[in-house]
Amino acid sequence: MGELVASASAGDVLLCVGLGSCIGLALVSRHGRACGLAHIVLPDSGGREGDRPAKFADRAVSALIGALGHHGARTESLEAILVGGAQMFSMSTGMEIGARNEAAVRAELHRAGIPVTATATAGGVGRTVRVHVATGNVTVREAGSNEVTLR
Amino acid sequence: MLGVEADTDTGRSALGEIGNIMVSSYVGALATMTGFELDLRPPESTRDMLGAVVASVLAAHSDAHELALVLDSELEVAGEACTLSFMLLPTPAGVAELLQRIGLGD
Repeated sequence: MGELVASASAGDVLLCVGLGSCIGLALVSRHGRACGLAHIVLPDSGGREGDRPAKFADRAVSALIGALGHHGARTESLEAILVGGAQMFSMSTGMEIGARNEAAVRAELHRAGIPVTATATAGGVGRTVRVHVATGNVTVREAGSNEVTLR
Repeated sequence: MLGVEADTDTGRSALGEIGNIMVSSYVGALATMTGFELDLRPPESTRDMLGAVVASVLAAHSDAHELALVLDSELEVAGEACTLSFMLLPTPAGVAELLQRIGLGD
């Protein structure tokens, strides 16, 4: 949770297991091989420093873009895939964190000029996302279901 | 579990009820040990990947938690072994008080 990773190595598969209300943000470059994945927990850092780089949406997106920049990927080449943002408990108040996370991530992506090309979000189930660096494919699996390719 | 499939409405309801009874028991025991008065709000239940569930609970109460109290239990129910974990997430203010009352404070 709150971690991010970027890679351009063909053998790598980036993974977030068990995304509930968290958002797994995958950024994939249309040119070249660089891919990144961030596990975002909350929408807003409120200016707080010192937490994990991808914990808050308002910091995670720029941090992930930066990590991809280290692998030579330009922001203009990136597209985003969002996974997660579910509401795990159906009757809760104050637990719309999932929807707020998705909205915050989308807002940050819009600010950065990165299009969202696929999503597997909302609903009430947990999801696992894999980013296959060799192909740029992004796959999602819900508990008890088959793997689905989003990109 | 009681001859009911977990993935049905009846099953989910039974799961919720069992969870409610178990949590009440644990909280009651904790209250006795610590002398705290502990009020329970209506319970909610879900069934999914462990990481997804736990992370979602933590995210919803984000201001609070650096400490979790985990009680792993093994029960025998009608001759069958059953394990459960009870996780308590106290607020920062509650942690020191809790540890003190169970004899682990400084």
